[in-house]
Amino acid sequence: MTGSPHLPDKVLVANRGEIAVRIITTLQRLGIGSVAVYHAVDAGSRAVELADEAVELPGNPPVSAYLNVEAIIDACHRSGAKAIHPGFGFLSERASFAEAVRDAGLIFVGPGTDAIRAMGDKIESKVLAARAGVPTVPGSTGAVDSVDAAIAVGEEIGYPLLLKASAGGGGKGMRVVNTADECREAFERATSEARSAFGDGRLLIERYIGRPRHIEVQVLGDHHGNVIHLGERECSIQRRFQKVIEEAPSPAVDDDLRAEIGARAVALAQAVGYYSAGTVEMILDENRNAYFLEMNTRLQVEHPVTEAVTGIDIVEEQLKIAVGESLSIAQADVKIRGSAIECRIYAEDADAGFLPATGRLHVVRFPSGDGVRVDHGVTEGHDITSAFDPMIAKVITHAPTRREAINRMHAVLNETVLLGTTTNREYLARVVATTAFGDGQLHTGFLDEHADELVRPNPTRSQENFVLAVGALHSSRFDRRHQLLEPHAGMAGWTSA
Amino acid sequence: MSMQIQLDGGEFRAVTVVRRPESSLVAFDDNDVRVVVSDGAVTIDGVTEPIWTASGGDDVYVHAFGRSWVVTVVDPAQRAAQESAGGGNAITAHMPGTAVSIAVAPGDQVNAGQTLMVIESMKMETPILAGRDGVVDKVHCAMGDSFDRGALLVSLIETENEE
Repeated sequence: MTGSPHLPDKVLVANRGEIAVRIITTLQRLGIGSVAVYHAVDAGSRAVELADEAVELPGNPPVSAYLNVEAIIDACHRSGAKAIHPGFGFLSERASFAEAVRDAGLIFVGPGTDAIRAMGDKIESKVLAARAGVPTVPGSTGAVDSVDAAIAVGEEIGYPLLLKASAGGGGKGMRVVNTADECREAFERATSEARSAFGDGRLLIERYIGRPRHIEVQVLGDHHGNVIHLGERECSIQRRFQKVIEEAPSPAVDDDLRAEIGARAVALAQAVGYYSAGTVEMILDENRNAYFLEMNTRLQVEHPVTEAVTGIDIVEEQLKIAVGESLSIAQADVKIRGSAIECRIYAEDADAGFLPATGRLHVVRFPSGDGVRVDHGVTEGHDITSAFDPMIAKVITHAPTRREAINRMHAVLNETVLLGTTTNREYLARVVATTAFGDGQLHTGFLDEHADELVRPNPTRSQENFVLAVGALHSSRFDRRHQLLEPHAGMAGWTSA
Repeated sequence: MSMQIQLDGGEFRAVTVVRRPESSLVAFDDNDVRVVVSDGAVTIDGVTEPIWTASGGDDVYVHAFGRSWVVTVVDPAQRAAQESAGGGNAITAHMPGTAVSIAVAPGDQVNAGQTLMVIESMKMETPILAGRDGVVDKVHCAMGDSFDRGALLVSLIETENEE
C-alpha cells in the first residue's frame, strides 16, 4: 500500500465482556467510533454502555449470538463500521469468519485466512514449525487413529506420554499416561472427548515433559513482511490446563534465551506470511529447552502484561497493521521494563475443585493507582451465569521489580471487593504469597504441587466474631423501624457500608 | 427478637441485636459484641476494619480482612416451618442459579413432587419440585434469569386449612 493509509473511522467489536471493553478503550483513545454487538442478557453490560453504538443480536443459547457470522456482518453494514475486531475466543480464530468479513468488503482486524487455517490445525502447524526451525516435543508426526498405533508411539519415544486433541485447546481431551495399559484405557475417552468438544476426534501423542514452564512469545507482523517480537510471557500457573496467572518477563528467561526464542517465533510467523498480533506458545523444560506448542492467531487474554512492560498498545498496532501500515517499531526499539503480573479473577470455588459459581454481583470495587490496571466488563447488579466464560476481571500490576509487582498484586487482590458470588480472588492472593511463587519456581503443575499450602486458612475466632456481628447488624431480618444506625443509603434494597 | 445466624454455611446459633446511637450490641452464644459503625469501617473490641457489605433476603455478604464471607440470618420460626412442611405456598431457591427451563404457568394444577422448573447451579441442573398439590399462582422468574439463594421462584395459591 502506498501513501498514508487511514485507520477506519468506525470499528465493530465482535465480542463481549472485558475484552470488548478493552478494545473499545483503545478505539476511543484513537478517536475511532465503536460499535458493540450484544445478546439481550448483556444489555446492561459495561461494553454496551461504553460503545458509541450497540446492536442487539438474536440467539438462544445467548452464546450463539456472538457466533452468528451473518448477523455480525449485517450489524457492521447497518452501523457503517468498516472493520471488525474479533477479540479472542468466539469467532477470532475461525478462518471462515475472517474470510466472510473480507468477502463482505470489510477489514478483519487479524491475520490472513491462510495463517489462521495453517496454525489452527495442530498437525499442520507442527510441520510448519519444524520446517521453520522451531523444534517440537518428540511425538507422533500426525494424528494417531488407533490404540495400537498409540502404543507403538509410546514404545518409540518412551513414557510418560500426553494425549491431546488435534483440533482442540483449553485442555479438553488431554490426558497423561505413564504406561501402555494407561494409554490403552485413556485413548478411547480422549478420542470421544475430542469428538464431542471439537467435532474432530483425532489425537496427537507426544512426550510428556515433567515440570514444564509455559512460555509464549508475542509477535507483531505487518503486510510488508516485517515481523518483530515483544518478548515472552510466562503462563505456568494453570488449573485444569487453563491459565490463571501470567507474567512478563519470565523469571526463567534471560536476554540470551529471549533473543533465541524470539527469533524462532519470528521465523515461524514469517514462514506463514503472518501479519497482525500473534502468539507462539512453547514449553520450556528444566534444562531450558523450548519446544513449540502452538501458535494463537489472535490477541491473547494475557496480552496486558506485555503491554505493561513494553509500553506498546497491541490493539492499536493491530488496527494500524490491518489498514496496511508498516510496523513503526523496530526490534531494537522493543525494551522490557520492569515486571508485570496478571491474575484472572473467575467466578468459581477454588476450594471446591474450581467449580464455576453463579450469582449477582452486588458490590464491585477495584483498586486503582500507579502500576495497577484492571480489565473487566462487569457492573454492580451484573448476573454471573453459566451462559458464558466465568472470568470476571483481569488484574494487572506493574513495578520495577518482580518482588514489587507481586507485593502490589497481593495488596490489590485483598482490596478488590466482589460481593454476591464466589470468586477465586482470595485463592489468587494465596498463590502469589507463596515462597515458591516469589522465588519464580514455576511450572504448569504448580497449583497441584502446592495444593496443601493453598487451602483456605481458618479464620481466627476474633475475625469470625467480627464478621458475625457485622452480618447481624446488616441483616434485613432484624426490625429496622427503630434503628438509630443507618449508616449508608440503600441501593434497591441492598446496602453498602 | 432472636434470630439464628450462620457463617459460611457453618452451625446456626442464636443471635440478638440491640441498636444504640453510639454503638450497638450483638449477642450470640456467650459473646456480647459491642460494635461501632462509622464511615465504612467497623470497630469491635478496639479492632477497626474497613468493610463492605451487601445484604438482602437471608444473606449478608461481607468483605473484611481481605476475605469474602457470607453471613446468613434466618427467623427460627420460618425456618422450622419451611423445613417441616416443604408444603408452603412459596417455593424458594436453595442455592443461587439460573432458570434453564420452566414447566408451569399461573393457573396450572400441580401435584406434590411435580417438576415446576429446572435450575442450573454450579454447572448442575436441579429440578424444583412442588411441595404439595395445588394451583400455581405466579412464576417469579423467566427462562435465563439468575437468582440468589432464598429467592422466590414459584408461588402456589393459598389454600385454607391444609391438613
